[in-house]
Amino acid sequence: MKRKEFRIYGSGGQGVITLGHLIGSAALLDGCEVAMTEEYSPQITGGWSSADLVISDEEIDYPLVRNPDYLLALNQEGFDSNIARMRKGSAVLVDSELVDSSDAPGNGKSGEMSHAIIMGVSARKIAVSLGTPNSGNVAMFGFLSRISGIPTKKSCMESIKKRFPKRAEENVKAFEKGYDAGGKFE
Amino acid sequence: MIQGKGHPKDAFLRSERLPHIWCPGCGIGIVLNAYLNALALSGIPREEVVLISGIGCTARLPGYANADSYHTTHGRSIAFATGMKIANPKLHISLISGDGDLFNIGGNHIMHAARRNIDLNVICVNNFNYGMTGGQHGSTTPAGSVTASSPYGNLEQSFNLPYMMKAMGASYVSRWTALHVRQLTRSIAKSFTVRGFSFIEVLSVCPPNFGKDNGFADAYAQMQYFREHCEIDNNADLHNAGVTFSGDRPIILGDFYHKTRPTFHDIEREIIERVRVDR
Amino acid sequence: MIVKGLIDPGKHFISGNFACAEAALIAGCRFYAGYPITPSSEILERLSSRLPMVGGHFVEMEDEIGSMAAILGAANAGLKSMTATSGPGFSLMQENIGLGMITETPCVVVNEMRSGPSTGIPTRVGQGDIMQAHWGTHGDVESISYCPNSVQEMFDLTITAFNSAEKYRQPVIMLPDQVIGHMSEKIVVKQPWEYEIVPRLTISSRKADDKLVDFSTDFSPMFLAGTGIRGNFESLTHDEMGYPSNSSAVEAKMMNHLLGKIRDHRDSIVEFEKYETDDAETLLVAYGVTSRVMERVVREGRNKGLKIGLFRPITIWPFPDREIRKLSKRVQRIIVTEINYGQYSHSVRENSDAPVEEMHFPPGAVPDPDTVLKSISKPAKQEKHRREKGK
Repeated sequence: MKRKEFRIYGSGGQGVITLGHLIGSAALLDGCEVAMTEEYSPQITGGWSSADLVISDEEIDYPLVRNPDYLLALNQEGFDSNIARMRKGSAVLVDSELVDSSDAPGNGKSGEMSHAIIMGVSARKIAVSLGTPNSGNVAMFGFLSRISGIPTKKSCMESIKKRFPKRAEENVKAFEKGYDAGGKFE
Repeated sequence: MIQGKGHPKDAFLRSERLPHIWCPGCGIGIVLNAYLNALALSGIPREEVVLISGIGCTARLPGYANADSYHTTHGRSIAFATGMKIANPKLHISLISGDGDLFNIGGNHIMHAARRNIDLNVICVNNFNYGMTGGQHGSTTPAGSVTASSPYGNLEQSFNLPYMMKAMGASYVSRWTALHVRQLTRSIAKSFTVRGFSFIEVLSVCPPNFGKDNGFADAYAQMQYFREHCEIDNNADLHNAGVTFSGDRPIILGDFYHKTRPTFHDIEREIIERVRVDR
Repeated sequence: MIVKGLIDPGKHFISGNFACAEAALIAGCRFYAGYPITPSSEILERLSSRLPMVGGHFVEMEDEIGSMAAILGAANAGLKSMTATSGPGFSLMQENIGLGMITETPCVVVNEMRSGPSTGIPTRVGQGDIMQAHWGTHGDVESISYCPNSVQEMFDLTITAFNSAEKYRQPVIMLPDQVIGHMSEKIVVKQPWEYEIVPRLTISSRKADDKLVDFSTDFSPMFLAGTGIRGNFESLTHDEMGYPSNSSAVEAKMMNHLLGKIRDHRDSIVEFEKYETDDAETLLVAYGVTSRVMERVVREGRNKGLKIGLFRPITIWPFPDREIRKLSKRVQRIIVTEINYGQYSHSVRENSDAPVEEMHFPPGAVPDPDTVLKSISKPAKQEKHRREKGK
């Protein structure tokens, strides 16, 4: 696999960094090289946070994300502040309950067509329905795995079990739901 | 050269380093003598004894003692000792340094070591000025005193060290002067047995600097002042124990405070025993 | 020897700061004193949790002055010790780094470079402490400073830093930048026995008139507190008994020893990496995260037919002078690229036969490879002076 760039963006408390670590550890199990950088606002809760990942079969020289192939927008700000840089062939994965993408360029309503494909999953809703409202990020993890194949489902499962040894079962459930939701975009 | 039996403290001194650097009449040598006597009384094996100091006249004292001695940077001896004691709690660590070193430049470290209750024996020789650099005023210089850097009289209020150290959390606090050698020796010996941070202030004389500029013609004159104005009160209200040479208030001395509480090392050992997985 | 409680051998996805902390434990570090500061706080936090697990000691000090003093105290009690900080704290540590130098106390200081001077931009990258890592403390010292450019190297070089500290008996500096500390990457951890760990050389016994340190040899054992040596540890210029001296002859002898032990072994300390330098006409010099950018620049430049290569010092200090000199004889120009306003370029210019250009990037961001490549693709200029104002 050639170099792929991922940007995850959401509010503090949504598990953005954790999701980054889940993706990174799973990609490692797939035999890939991974570099992840993080940024967050000074507020610990209530602010924003983002995780950038570069995943590649080859050694990674430049470790930062410039042109994401995948944007995972967990809130509206994440969508609005990054959509303009998404190029043709890139994919935008949003929490459809929390992000209104109808006004986005490429949806034909305003601006230039970006040709990024926008796909939604009700990640938070899934988490709430499972009784684990904090596992929305893991549902998004499943959604990503189904749509991009990065990382593979097998490695994702392993990384979930390693990350949440005591809460593996509930997180696997959230992952599966997200994974299933990705099916309709295949 | 006169051959004699030698000095009774020879075994405790690096005699090859003598004569020392202190001026005639200085009180620091008296403290060295009291310390070595207390050490002999204590029976602590000498290889476990460590002396640490920062920079200044008093800070030269450890270098004359025949034990492991550490002459560190100005003001940092307490922090250095904190690291050493935590790393090896079996060591008997004494810090003997001056008021400027421990409370001016090193003030931040000493209050935190007391708060942490690091098991150190701190002896602060207070000569009310910076002796080594020529007698400038510091945080222990009584208000109004004339020094090399307060020619119109010190305009700042001075620290009341026992009061301060008790408030900071020391387990043992006492104060004597260079005249009260027996009491001082007993207090030092006692501090060796105190688990936790112990603090002893020794009011001393600096004849060519502080003494000369503040009406004490020589060391004897200042010692005479101590003799006439000191009052021993072990139960003194430390709030009122500030030092002045104005003659209108006594200088309060005594074994003021002794209350043990768990040391940093006690609590740390419990944590390590609870969480360690390496064996 | 198998030590329990160390990071498992195998692949891990962890941050540079965590890698540094775990590597320190493998290297035998059992004492940490520090003060929280972005971007290095994760090292402190990790070790506050991990050190007690392996029977080690952790103390959060009142400031960085105290932290540096405390690790020297612990080292002299026999433990391998470390602290970590960033620019503002590194400035405070300089006093006692000097104490570590003159007393030959082994320890490791991690300084994670952020933007500066003063408080700067705490959360963002900088490379402005390059000169400070050598010349920060007063007086003459020979610095050993490692500059990792990946999380794997952060791990490996932390172990190397502890080993160098023991071998050469002085504080050794780890000089990662903020990006390397905060970035997470794959690391491969070997079996514990596959790592070379240098033990401490100590004095086991001493007669009253034995020297405490032998200035005529590069590697003298050190005395530890409480082992019956009755040594004098001295911040003043001192003789071989450890006693202070005002003599300039004694000072010369001591300094020859302190500087010589590094200079004599420069070849075994200096580490660097060359990339596509064999036929390079333009040589880039870069370290830390900047070298990752320049690797990309070289790769893309080569695709466009540019004869371009990269020299990456891994030991920022000692300076790889001979290697730079050799390369400078066969390239047309050298461009020193760094996230500051010109620091390492001074040393490169001093050791280069080719014209040396400076490419500065303002702290706060990692340079963009496309922009760099564009500006390099322009015809080579004469050596550029930073100030071109004039009448």
